[in-house]
Amino acid sequence: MKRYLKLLRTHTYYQLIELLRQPMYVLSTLVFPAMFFWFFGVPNATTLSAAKLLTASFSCFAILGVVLFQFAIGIAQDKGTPWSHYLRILPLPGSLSLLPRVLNSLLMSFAAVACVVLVSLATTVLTVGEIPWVGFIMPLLCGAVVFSLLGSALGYASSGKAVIPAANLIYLPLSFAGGLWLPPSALPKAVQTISEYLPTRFFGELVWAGILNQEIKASHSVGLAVYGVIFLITTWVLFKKFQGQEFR
Amino acid sequence: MSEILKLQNLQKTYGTFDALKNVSFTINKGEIVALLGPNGAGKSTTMKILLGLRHADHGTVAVPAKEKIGYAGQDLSFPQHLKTVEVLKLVKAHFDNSTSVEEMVRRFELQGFLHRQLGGLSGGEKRRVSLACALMGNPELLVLDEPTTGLDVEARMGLWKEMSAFASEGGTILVATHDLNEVSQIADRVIIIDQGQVLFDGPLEEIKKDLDVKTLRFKSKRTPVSTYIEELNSREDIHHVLTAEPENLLKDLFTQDFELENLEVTSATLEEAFIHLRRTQHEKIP
Repeated sequence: MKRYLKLLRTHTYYQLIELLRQPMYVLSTLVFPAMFFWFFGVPNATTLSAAKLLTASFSCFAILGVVLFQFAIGIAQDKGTPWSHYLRILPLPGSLSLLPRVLNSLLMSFAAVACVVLVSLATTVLTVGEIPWVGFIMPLLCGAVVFSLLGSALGYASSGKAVIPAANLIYLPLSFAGGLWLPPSALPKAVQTISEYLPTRFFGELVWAGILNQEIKASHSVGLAVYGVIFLITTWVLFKKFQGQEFR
Repeated sequence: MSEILKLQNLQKTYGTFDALKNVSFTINKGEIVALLGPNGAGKSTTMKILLGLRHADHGTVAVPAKEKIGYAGQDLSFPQHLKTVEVLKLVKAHFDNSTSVEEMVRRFELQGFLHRQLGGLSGGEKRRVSLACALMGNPELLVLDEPTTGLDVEARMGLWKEMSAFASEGGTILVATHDLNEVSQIADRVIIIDQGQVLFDGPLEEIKKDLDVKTLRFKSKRTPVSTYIEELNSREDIHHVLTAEPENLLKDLFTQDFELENLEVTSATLEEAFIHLRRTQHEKIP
């Protein structure tokens, strides 16, 4: 166990160092959601409720971006490389090829959320005391898990070159149609109908309920959980297929 | 001597291509063994199976535990944004009985780029980092795949000096390479694989001694033609002929009233012996 934790710490640390040494990654992960919130969220956050909802929406957007891109791009670009083969040759427990990525994506996700919240605290009527932290953080965590599975599935399904446009094709429409940029009621009629069945909408509903201290609807929790199971199965199938091709 | 690695009747097929047909060999502790063969011969597949990166369709593999194997691969793809010292520390963390980073830096002369990111290093510098990583865990078996690619002459000599020192302390080395001259300097034994089969397994000198291949060099205006010629290289009127039966070849040529001058008969080089071996062994193996 001691050795396992030492290896987990070492791999997580060096993976984080590697991420932080890529300015474009840091900029797009941490700054972009907060900047987007400042431009499009803050002008509409005129009341406390609006500030809370918009902060929650852009926090979801931040989480979605970090986990989707970190898993999709990370997996697609690492899989099959000589370095990933070298790690397989080292005496490294199998779970440690994924766990450091999970920890780093959680860390970066919450750093991105922190940036959104800081901008909100600095520019809107929202105060630290107004945020129900547990109710706000817990649904964000659940969403991070579900969308990290979507990112993993995308990573195993895509090549290193195709993954960035593929991730954008999922990230941007899901964010918009899920109501993370505009309130669902402000979406075009056709999109409103689809929106109710999207994982980002379920995610948003849970975080909105959490930050407003409202009761969470079972349909939203179940909806997100069903997507989680679908993404998990898809990831597992694609992972086994990749393993079969790469290490047959 | 006790065995450290044993491969028995390995077979591996990719689709309809037989990568390995029936490969068996054993390596004893303390040996330096070279795995030779042309591209696509089955060397990489054999290496991948023994490293656990591929599964054999048939056959058995007995190798030491991962903690006791050091590996330096042909492709050098380190995390681009990590520094040399960081990747050494990362690899070191996997082994309980590891050498210090400082010792590896000294042995492989990594001081000049210790704090540079790996993406910015030259191929030769990356190769040295790769070899330092391979020895970091004080392995019993060192598996090297084309280890001198990209190294200059001085660095190559330094590498083989390190490998010799490793072997003299009881370490075992399996090295896959194309460079027959390097093999002749360091290997105790050679295993030649071609078309998924072991063509030869024995001490290096036996290849040349057993096969008794000769090179005939002579001057003639005619190009020699004979069934005893295995390889012919002609440049204007100078001809180099590889043959296993030099006397019969000469008899054959004389019966053709073949005129030649300045005949020299020498033992074949290692490369020439290798060519001969491939040809004759494939005729024997069904």
